[in-house]
Amino acid sequence: MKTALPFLCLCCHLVAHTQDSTSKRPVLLFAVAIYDFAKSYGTSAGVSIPFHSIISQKHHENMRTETRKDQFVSMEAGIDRRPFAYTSAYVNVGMGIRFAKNEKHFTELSFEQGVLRTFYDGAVYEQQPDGSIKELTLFGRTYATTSFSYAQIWSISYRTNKAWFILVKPCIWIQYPYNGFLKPHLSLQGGVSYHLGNVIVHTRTKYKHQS
Amino acid sequence: MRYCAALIIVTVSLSFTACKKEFTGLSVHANEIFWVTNNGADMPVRVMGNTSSKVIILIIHGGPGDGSFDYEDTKTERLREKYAVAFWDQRNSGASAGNNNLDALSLPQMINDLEVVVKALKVRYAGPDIFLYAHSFGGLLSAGYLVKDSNQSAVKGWIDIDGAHDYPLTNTLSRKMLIDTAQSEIDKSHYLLEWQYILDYCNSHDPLSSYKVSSQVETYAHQAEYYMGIQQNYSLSLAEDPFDELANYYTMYYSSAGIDFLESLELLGYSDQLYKIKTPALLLWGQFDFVVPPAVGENAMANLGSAYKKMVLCPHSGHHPMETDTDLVEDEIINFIESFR
Repeated sequence: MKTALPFLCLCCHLVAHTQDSTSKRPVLLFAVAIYDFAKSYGTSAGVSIPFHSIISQKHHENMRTETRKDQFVSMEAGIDRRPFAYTSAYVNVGMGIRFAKNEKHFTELSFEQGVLRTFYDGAVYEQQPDGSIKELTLFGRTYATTSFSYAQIWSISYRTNKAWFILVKPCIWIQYPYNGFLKPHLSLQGGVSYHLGNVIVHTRTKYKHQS
Repeated sequence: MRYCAALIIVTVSLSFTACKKEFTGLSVHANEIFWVTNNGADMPVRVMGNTSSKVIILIIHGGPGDGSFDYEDTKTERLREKYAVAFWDQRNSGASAGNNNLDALSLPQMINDLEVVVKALKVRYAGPDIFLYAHSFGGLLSAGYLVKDSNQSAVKGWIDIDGAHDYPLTNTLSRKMLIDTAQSEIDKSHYLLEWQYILDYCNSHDPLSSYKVSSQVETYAHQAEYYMGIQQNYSLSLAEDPFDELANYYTMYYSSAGIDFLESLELLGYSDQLYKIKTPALLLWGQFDFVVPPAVGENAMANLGSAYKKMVLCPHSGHHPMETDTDLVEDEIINFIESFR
């Protein structure tokens, strides 16, 4: 049994080892327009900063492919408008992983946690202790939010330094506590991203050779 | 970098241009919203139609939990041409919002919400004539409002459409109507198996025994409309944001607080207090309503203290005569309002 597993590995002709180093990875600014089903629309802007990178290199006969996973933290702020209901402002912070097989296209999977504040449309009335009705200004509610998103991002720059990207990002998020429960949302975001600069991140490179 | 900053500034600025629907005065084609916040619930009131008429029909929707958006179509089209119609979403219904407010979910609290909504309408539109338009559960809520203190002095009339002003009575009469109709339909061999199933269930279960049984009887009552050939409206009406509706519906029917609230309603009724109501009343009833049978309306007619009270049976209708006898319902409402505005 002791030799069975190494033997099986040898049968697969795989050798893997890792190497730690540092590399420069881009800080991305992004601005997106948002359509939140149904009938809400808005915009948000933010930044994502990588802090760790994993590079997987596969060598197969004469070919070599490289997959890069950049882990990043992000922060965004935005506003959302729902006609005949409210306008909301929010701030989210989160973490994610960016998967890239080449410099022209990559994907992002991210999780964010945030705070959302609504401001109701029109006047808001409240009864006072004396029974009179008072109009409140800028009244709304504060909610926590949690979101999961998956973005597809393409380079639109033709120069060697890929500075501009477009992105499409479906997102599922929940708002809570909403009437003692939670309110689900489904949104589609589309916009641009800009390669602001590079930061030095810790990189772990994994090599896989297959003959 | 310059371009990126400019782009962000432009997109953020554009979103702030979204206009707020401020009250700008009376109009023949009003379409505006305001909110009432009361004890943890923020309730939207969408006002559409002719506010310059100085007549507002306040929708008190059914369910509970249905939301008022369902009335924003042809059901109130002619009413909106002549008068303003205020679509109020009750707490934890429709597009109503709030944080942790389930502990306040009760009929007395909803009656208090209605009091505040009526006051807000009075303040905002400078003392319009308000008519309550109550349907189903709204009949219980509006009856509770009208018998309390001097509330009825704030409204000009009560339009009660298949309103369940007394839940135990409604449950009892619903079961009786199902049994009576089942026997006659079985004799005619019409939907034989279906009616036999309903008959067997109703004969062996008392809807007053539990909320579960009364819910099942209500389900059969809706099915019975179909067996009697009443036109069913299968179109799906979506609120401005269906996710509001989804969240509120779940809370109302699947949370323990929501179920406690629904169970508490099973014991409530205002039959013995209807004599306090002196406000003119128009009762509109579907002849084939098995959910809130016409006999419930007859009970209201017998007990109301109003000098003017009229009950109209809608011949092609079940529980929703505003959908199936729309012209008749709107004609009766318009005549009623013109008489008492």
